[in-house]
Amino acid sequence: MISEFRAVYGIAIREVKRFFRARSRVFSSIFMPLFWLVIFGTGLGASMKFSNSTFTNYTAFVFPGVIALNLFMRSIGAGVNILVDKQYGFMKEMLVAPISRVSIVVGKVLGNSFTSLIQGCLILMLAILFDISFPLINIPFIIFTMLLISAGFLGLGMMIATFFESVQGFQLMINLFVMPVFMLSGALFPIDNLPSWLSLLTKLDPLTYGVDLLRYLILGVSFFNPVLDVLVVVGFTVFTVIIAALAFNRRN
Amino acid sequence: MSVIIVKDLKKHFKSVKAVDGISFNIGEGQIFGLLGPNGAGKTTSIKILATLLKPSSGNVTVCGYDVNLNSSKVRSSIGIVFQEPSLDVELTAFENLILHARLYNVPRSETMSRISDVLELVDLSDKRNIQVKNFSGGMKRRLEIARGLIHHPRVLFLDEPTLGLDPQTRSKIWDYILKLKKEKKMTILLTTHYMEEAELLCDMVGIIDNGKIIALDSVSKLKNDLKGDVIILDVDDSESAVKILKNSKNFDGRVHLSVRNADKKLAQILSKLSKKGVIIKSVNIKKPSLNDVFLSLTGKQIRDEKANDNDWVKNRMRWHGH
Ligand SMILES: Nc1ncnc2c1ncn2[C@@H]1O[C@H](COP(=O)(O)OP(=O)(O)OP(=O)(O)O)[C@@H](O)[C@H]1O
Ligand SMILES: [Mg+2]
Repeated sequence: MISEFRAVYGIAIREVKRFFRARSRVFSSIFMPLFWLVIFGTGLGASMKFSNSTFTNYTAFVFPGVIALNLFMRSIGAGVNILVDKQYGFMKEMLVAPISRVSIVVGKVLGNSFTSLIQGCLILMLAILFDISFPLINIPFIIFTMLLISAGFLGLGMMIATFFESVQGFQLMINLFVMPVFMLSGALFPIDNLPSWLSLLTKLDPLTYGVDLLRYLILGVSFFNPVLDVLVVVGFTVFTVIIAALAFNRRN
Repeated sequence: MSVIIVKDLKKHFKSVKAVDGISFNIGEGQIFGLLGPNGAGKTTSIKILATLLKPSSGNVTVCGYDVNLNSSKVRSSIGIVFQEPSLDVELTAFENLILHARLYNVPRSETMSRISDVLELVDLSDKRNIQVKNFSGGMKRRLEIARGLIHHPRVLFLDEPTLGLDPQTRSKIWDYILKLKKEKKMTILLTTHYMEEAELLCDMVGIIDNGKIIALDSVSKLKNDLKGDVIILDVDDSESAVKILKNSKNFDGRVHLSVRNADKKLAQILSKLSKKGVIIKSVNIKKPSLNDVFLSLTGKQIRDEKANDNDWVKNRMRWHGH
């Protein structure tokens, strides 16, 4: 059992190193969110008549959404590195080691959650720039939520990746996923006054609860009961990681 | 005692019989070579022995553990170098090795010294902190061999260890392999389609073709079974020499004599000639190669062998300054 922890640690460290060694990835992971905040916050905010009574500042409203969006996009896309490892042969090194397949998946989830978390924290610091304040005591909870959102979508991304052989096929599939999941998550607009069919769709979107929980922790308001948010986010993460591990085990 | 026991192993991919009923044993400290052309089933066999593929039928035991029932035990007792590269090229040599140590739970207190040892063994100590993407093909191969040794496996699998490498690097890797056998008494299973590699390294050779082992013996035995030795004599009077020796022929003034075991018969032949007053200027023995063995068994050549042999000789000559 201890040997499995050591393997998980080794695999996680590798993921972190690989992330930071790809300079362009580090660069874009800092500037993309800033770009989005400016576009969504300033651009969209100015051209939209924002008539929600709870929020007066649209940038503040989208801020938690932008964090969630980044965690979501990076995490679900990181499923690709299962396929990259296959393509470059490193997967065989892990598969032939005396460790369980579950450790491989968990190691990858933890390593990539960590890098997503760092990205999330960098965006969180932008709050100062946009004059958004929240109680510092919330920071550990925010970090925990960011970890859960990352791990959940990493699990989903890896599960999807096990059904593909090629990087291209996987990316096509992910592109189909990303837009609807993001648009329906309530990151860009309040979801309390929607027509019932749309409201149902937003409630089926797991990202909705992550966005809502972050908004609660950062801005102090939420559409659902935060306890419900926590339950859904935790449940989703546990579910996807287990399914990913099972799928990976079956395929290899 | 046999470290590896393979009994009637079969592996079918849908209609393809990749491995079709092979059996062999490998004793402790032996180097066993699976020799065969492309698509013969070498990699498939290794993958089954390494628990990466499930056999369709048959029994395979590695270090006393059944590959089906005890795959985790099998995995911790083997080291493997795959045919295709399997390093993380973004990581340094050291990082690849320490990751391996973590995957195999090498005792923490020994990890660092073992990493230094294996790097030393393959002469890569000075490349320790360089990213593997900057390595040459030969350096990558050596690093993979080093990596396969960190957890002190009892058996090492090498799938085409010198494929695509230049002759200098190949002979270097042969040196490492022989060193492992000599110094560590390592049991090694290697696959190859290079004849000279099998001749040089292996105690035992299984010649595999179309998923079947068609010959299984030591290299010298395989060659001796072939009536293939030719003694070539340069004498003052070839006409009378041909009359004295049975089964001999005169080619351009040289006497060619086919025998089964030239080393043993040579003395007798020479004394026979000198008794009759024939003066011998030079003697040459042409041994059959494994290639001749393969040819006689299958009626075909192992592909690419000729071109490679020539390149090999050319480069060796350049290397030795001839
Ligand atoms: N996953 C697979 N699915 C279907 N057929 C396969 C698979 N793996 C191998 N084969 C087939 O099994 C046969 C044996 O392949 P294998 O890779 O074991 O040969 P090999 O002796 O290693 O050849 P090489 O010298 O080219 O490496 C080939 O005909 C190959 O096409
Ligand atoms: Mg092969």
